[in-house]
Amino acid sequence: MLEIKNLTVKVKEKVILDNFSLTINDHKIHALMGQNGTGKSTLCRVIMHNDDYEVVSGQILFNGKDLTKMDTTAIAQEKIFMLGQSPIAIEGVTNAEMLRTSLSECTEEPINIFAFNKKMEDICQMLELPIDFIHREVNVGMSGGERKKNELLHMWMLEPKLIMLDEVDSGLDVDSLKLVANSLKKYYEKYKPMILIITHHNNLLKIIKPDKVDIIKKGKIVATGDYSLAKKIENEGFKAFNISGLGNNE
Amino acid sequence: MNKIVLDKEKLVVDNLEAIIELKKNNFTLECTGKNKIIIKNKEILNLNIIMQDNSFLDILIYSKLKRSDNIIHIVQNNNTIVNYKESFISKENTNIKVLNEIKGVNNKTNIIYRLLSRKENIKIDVLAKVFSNSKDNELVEDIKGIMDGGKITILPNMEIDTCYVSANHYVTIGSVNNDELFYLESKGISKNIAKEIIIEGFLKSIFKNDKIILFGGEINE
Repeated sequence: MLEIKNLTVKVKEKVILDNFSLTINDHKIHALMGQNGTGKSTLCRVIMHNDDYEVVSGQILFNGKDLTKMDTTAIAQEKIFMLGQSPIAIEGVTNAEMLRTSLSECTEEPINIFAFNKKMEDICQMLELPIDFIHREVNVGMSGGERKKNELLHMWMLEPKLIMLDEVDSGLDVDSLKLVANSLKKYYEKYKPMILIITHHNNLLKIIKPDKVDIIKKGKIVATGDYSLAKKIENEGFKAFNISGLGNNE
Repeated sequence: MNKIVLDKEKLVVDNLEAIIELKKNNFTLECTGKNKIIIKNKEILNLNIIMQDNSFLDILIYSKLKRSDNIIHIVQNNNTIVNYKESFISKENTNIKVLNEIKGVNNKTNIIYRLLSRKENIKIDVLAKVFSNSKDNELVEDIKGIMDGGKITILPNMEIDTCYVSANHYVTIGSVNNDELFYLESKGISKNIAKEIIIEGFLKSIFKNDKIILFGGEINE
């Protein structure tokens, strides 16, 4: 279970999240919606303990452990995975090299190269990626859609228990969106992780139905409901909840 | 690829692809034909490259622990191509001087360096001289350094004595990218290992199209 309790976060004296609370129960899918600049993406980075953000007060508990007291590596090794909207590229570092290092650090055991390669090949096939992606440099020379699929390759290899999708649907064409969403759905059916979907609109949620939807504005949750809330926003916009107007905190 | 251990100060090559392990610190390479040479893990090297007309040379140098002073001198006359790529981590304060003389027509030169300084100082002074009466030459100096506690000074110089040339230089000095570091940490890799992976990737990145593999500071086919 992920429990965020009364979290207040600042960047350079500016409050980004204000006494923010949110709970995701085991095996549940949770959507967080809001306009640009409301603090949605900040939340993912704070959960991963990015040093750019200062946690002023509050707790982030994952299965009872306070993530605010752990470093990024330790948090990731708790099987928490973030898929960002613009994954960065790293020259000279291949997917295989990065994943082998990550898995061997996590398990503290040598990797069975044969099994590792076979799994990578199977996942590439499922994601409709060429096999050479295994040895491609991390996100280098890849289109936006390819980067998202490449991140899914990482996700399937690392087998997280909590997945945070930060506007993963942005910049994807219809076919890529379907492929990404179906891959996430398949992963959910197999491993039953917790999923936090951060998004502006309803496209991804049509395929991966959330159990709960929260609307965020200026770092605070201002409306909560089930999937019907996301549909209402799609039809009526954020104005329907008297929460129109750009936030400016993200 | 052939592997050659050489105890000479000069080698004339013609259509050679080889990994060369040098025993001498001063070495002259004279090229005709199309050549690809990998210099294996040489710490100190004063290298003269003489390009005969219509010759081609890819030269790759990767040193895990480079030290002391180095002078690289490349002379090109007509219809030659030189791709000089070198990556290294310094072991002690290091001074490198590269002089590229282009005297004739229709030559191309890429001088590419990737450097890492831990606590040492690296100074690299690259001078490309394009002579009068020469024309249709293209040259690029592409030098990037990561400072991880040490200091790097890069001096990219060009003396161009003709209008008929395309000459560019790109220079970057910085530290290990924090976004890259955070990304790898968020995949479960500890900070120190992530940093080493990024540095190794940075140093290797210039060889990625050369179908070679770098093992622990050595360079192999």
